[in-house]
Amino acid sequence: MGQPLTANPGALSILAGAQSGVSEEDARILRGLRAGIDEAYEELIERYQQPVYGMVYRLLGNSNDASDVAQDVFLKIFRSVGSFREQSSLRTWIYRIAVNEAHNHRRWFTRHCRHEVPIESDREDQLAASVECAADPARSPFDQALNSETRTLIEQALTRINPTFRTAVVLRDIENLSYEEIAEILQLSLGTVKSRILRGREALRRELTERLDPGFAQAYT
Amino acid sequence: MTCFTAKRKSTAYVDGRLREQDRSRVTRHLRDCDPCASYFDQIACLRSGLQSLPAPEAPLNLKTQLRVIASREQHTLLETRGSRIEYLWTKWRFRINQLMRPLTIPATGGLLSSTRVVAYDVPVVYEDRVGANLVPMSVHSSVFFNISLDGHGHIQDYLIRDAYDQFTGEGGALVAHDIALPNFPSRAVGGDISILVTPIVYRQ
Repeated sequence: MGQPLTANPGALSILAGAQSGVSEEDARILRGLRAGIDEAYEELIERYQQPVYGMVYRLLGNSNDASDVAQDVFLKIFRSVGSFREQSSLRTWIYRIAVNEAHNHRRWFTRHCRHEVPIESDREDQLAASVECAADPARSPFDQALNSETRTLIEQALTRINPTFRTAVVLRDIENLSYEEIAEILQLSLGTVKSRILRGREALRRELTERLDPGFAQAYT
Repeated sequence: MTCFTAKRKSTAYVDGRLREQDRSRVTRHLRDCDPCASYFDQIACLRSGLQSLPAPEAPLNLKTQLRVIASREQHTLLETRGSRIEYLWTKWRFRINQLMRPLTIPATGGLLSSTRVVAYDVPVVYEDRVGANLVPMSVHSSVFFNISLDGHGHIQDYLIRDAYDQFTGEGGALVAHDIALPNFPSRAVGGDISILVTPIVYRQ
């Protein structure tokens, strides 16, 4: 596969014109995918591989599962791009597929593997890695330790709250999506989205308060 | 405003989604209510903590795996020219082929073994002569060569025998019989060399 789509507009000259609901750029990628053009596949992977993996990882809390689900997500995108009606943005559509796939995977896992005991603690390894990555040399060792510990605690707390609320919080606070986008992705009303975010944050706050009590507020300052 | 109402509005307040009038009412309440102010602080801190979480790095091989998937799907798409019916037909044809494979392979093998193959191409590899490596011969069964060499690696005479016949000849008659044999290096010792040629069936 070749250069990014934007760097080689000639290859996609047949893709001019935008549809309602999607941006010009998204429309070009979609038409490229439907026409089977290399650059469109490449650009879609370049743009969405990391966000999709990151979001699925936050929803499932396991890197291997996140990788498998990310592949399923892209397979589904490639296969159903022809039936995408372009009433929402490409990002929203992809996130909807990712959330559904993660949900299906979690449901399958709950049914089939709930009694299995993991041999290695993948989650802890990931957390340790992310803590190392997050270290900021400009801050004092105490601040870094506090910061790392807080992040680790937040990540752990995130895995412990109800998946329904976790999804809403991840989409809003980590992926920075608007209420309207979240409502489209989860196929819910705005009121329900707000309620889920509120309850998700409240559940997270309670989890962290239990861990950090009595100095939860001070830990962030 | 009650504490319950203020907490209900915490999400919209922290996200900056409250109307100005509601926002100022909540702000006024927070000025007067320390527990609510503390609660809102915690929610705001939690939000900034979530936003500062490092993005998990995708495994290095994920992109390669996605490219493989993309390439396969692109190939299918181009092959079927986007026709859903064609795509489904291709998919089902493949499945039917896979299902029939355990039946068709023994059937084909049995059919082939019932016919008599009369000729094969027998490759003869030269040590020092490139370009004449394939010599067509009519071989019906395994062929046994017995070659007598002089002390310099030259063929003096030979015996060729298969299941049906045998014949002998001198070194000079090899070409006349359309037989190609390796030129043995001069350091080769004299005496007899036996070569067994077994027919090999090439699948088309």
